[in-house]
Amino acid sequence: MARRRERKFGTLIWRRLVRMLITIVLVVTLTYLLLDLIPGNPAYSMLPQDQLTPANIAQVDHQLGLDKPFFARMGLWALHALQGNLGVSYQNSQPVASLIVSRLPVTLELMILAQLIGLVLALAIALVSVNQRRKVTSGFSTLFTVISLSLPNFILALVLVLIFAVKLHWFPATGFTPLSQSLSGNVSSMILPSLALGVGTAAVYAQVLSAELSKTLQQDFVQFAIAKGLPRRTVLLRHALRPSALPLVTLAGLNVGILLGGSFIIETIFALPGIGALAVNAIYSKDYLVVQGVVLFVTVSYVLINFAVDLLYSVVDPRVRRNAGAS
Amino acid sequence: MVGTGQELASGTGIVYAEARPRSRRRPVTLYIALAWLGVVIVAAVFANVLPIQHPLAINPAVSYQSPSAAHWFGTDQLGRDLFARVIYGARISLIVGITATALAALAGALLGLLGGYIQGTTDTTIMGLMDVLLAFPGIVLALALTSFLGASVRNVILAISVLSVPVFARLTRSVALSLSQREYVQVAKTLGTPAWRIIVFELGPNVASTVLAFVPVIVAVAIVIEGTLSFLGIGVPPPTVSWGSMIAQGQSVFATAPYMSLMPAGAMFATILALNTIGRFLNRRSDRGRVI
Amino acid sequence: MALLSAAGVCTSFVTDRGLVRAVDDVHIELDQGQVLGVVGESGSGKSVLVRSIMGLYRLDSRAIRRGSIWFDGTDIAALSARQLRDLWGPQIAIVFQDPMSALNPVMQIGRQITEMLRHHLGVSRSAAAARAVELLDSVGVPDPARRVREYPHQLSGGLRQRVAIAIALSCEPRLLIADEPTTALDVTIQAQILRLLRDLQERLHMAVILVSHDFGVVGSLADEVAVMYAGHIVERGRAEQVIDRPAHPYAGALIRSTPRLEVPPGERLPTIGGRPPNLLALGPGCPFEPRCDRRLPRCRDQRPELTAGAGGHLSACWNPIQDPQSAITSPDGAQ
Repeated sequence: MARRRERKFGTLIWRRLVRMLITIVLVVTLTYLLLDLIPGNPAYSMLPQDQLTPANIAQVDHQLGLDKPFFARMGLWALHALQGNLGVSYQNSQPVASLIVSRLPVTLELMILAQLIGLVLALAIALVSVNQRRKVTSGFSTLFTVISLSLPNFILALVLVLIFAVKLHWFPATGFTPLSQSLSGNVSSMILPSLALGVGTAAVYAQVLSAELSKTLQQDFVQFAIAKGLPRRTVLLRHALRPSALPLVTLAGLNVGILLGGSFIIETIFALPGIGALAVNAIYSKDYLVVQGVVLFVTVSYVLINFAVDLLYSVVDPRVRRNAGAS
Repeated sequence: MVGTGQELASGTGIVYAEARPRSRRRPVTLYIALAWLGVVIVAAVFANVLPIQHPLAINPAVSYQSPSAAHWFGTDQLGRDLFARVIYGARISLIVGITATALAALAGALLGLLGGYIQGTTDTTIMGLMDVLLAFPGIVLALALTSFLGASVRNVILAISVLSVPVFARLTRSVALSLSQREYVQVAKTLGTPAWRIIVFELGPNVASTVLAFVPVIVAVAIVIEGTLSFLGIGVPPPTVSWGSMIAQGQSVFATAPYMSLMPAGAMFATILALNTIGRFLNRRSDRGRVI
Repeated sequence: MALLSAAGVCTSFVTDRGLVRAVDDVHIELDQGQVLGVVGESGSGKSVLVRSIMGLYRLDSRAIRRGSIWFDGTDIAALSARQLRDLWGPQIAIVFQDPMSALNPVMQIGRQITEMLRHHLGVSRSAAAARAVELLDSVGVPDPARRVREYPHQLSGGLRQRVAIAIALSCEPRLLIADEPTTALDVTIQAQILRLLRDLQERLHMAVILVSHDFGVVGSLADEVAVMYAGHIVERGRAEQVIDRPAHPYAGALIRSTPRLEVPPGERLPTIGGRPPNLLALGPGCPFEPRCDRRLPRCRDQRPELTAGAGGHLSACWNPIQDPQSAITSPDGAQ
């Protein structure tokens, strides 16, 4: 019986893997197609007016690979992409791939901090809102969640800057201090940006966690734990929380996409040297290859992350294990 | 199970039980939300004929004025009246939001119905395409599309609706899947009714209420995306007034003239909140009264 | 002095459809070492009663409570929430009906026992672990050292209930409440669990309140029996008396409908006619009146109080059964 279960599990993974790979292939295709969307010849938008000579245009065409038939172009580009060659930035002649890699750590740090803030804040909110006794604080937490869900992150960012950077002078409004330089400087420059992203995240997580927690608290085993004379906190944290937190795992994976998108704006506002700011600046300067490279990198990463989360979830969920092994 | 005594005894949520189910009453917040939305829509539609100043009228003499009787929301760096600009910004946001959502709903519903009803390879293909669209993080796709296509109202609407199609497609597909099993659909099939008639007349109405329940929320998302794009400067191009670009313009003088950003930001926030509130209420109701 | 003394216990719930009087004007007295059986059908209020006695509804905002409950000389109503929680475990413990849903599915069994020991008795981790194994052994769980690390779904129903009993006994309570402990189990396992409960009760000299809808279950253990209907106690007395000579028609009918081995096969099982009472709309009279085959006109208008009858025990009936022979088909009530 156990072996059959494992075999089923194996085919499930295999099927998901194939699906994921197909998705990636299509993503690559679509991303490459972006270039074809540009009305007219991209060279015209990239080159300044006085440099629109046929020679320059031809050069840009060649750089973007536009002088070859479509499938050849795409195949070549995909091949290069696999090898880590995403072209060269038109602006500063640096390889796109190395630009991305050099700026990746900043975005990673931002996203990790935002996730952490989101999870911790959501936990606090969910625990507070479940405690019906303290009506005031639970009312506040509901209000907070409702407001945060409707507040766009860039508006929140501006408000945070106004209060904490301009009026209180606690943190810098823009700029980034790398970890290697100074830990406190790094934290100080990252607090406001990660809050701007993390608060919205927390609201989403808190909603789900509260709902799951309420559901779990109705179950018999929670009441048994209460009847055992255990204190409220123990019942909540040790008994009710663990099964309620499971859906958050998948949610956190899905949320990476939202955080990635959010990083584009937040990095721009706070002048953080991350991938998002890289892409936005490339958009301003019509550096199409860079934009393409970032979109490809970000999307493929997102697909891979979700695949990993899916796998993790089906392995970790005791209910799945339990159903397979129930007597 | 007899009498409510036993149910309560074993099912009572001690300590954390809610005093009574809240789902019956219509909350006051819903009416406030509807009222605000009504005001915004009316103002946006009748912007031309409202007794407000011209949103593009430049008057450097009165630039950076705080809110006053003459200028209810103050003025921006070029002396333009912010109140009028906020109203015209509402116009664009609503146009973009509603149009994009409507397009996405139509396209998505069609795809979802086709996939859910015909099933098989059609379904797999459609869902595969939706997966690919969903693979792109939202804003990233919108940014990419508008930057490559060029910034214009039309392209922003296009980008946002492309983003939102998978949501509606998935929604209608699951409804179509379950409804296809129902007897009355089977009957229609055996009677020789052509597929398109079944989809439109049998499945369509049932799907409609579910789709409508999601519309407010998606419109809210569309407004946020449009605002974000315009804020970055890649959305609705000037001279069209947009909340997002207004906020961006006020960014540099946020300390001295916060009203420049706060007025459009406040209007945007209130509208999104209103839409989300309405959407949440609709979703709770449709959950209970669903045909399934 | 009685260990438990509850008087005038009323517990009602506010629901969408009105006020439900789950328990109405109940008096209970229990001495240390005594076993009280509470019998009644679903909805009779027996589960609500025992939970009210524990004070479990103190924390539920939907419940309206009345009456005085004295445990070991302390007024339960006067205790703070924290004091109440300190009571649960070392003084009063409860075993629920369905062990599969009562035990935490994602927590190891040993942990569910040790957390009791560590919280209430302040026992160290290692000592608690050892004690958990001992406890599992004392309730008859084979190979307890291995079981301690397992999860509930890995055990059979009977074993799970033993674990639940072990948890309840871990702090050596004065009073054990067993709410339908065998209802979710096979008949053969039922007998085992009942035997276990009897052994433990004798050994630890615990007071036990045993709740069940099955007279057979109750008869094997109880010293005293109380029969509940629609939130009221309709009969109470020594077990042998109530079972041999039931005075209240409902008690009689309930005993009659208990399946017995002595009844010849093919003979129809007696049932109680009519429908269960609607707790939202109880009239002024006896709640059993609509289904009673001994009803009198006054039964509809006036609710009878518990009064001593010919048999020597209490019953709440205007027309109690006098002749013991008409109540049961077999003289042997004990299982």
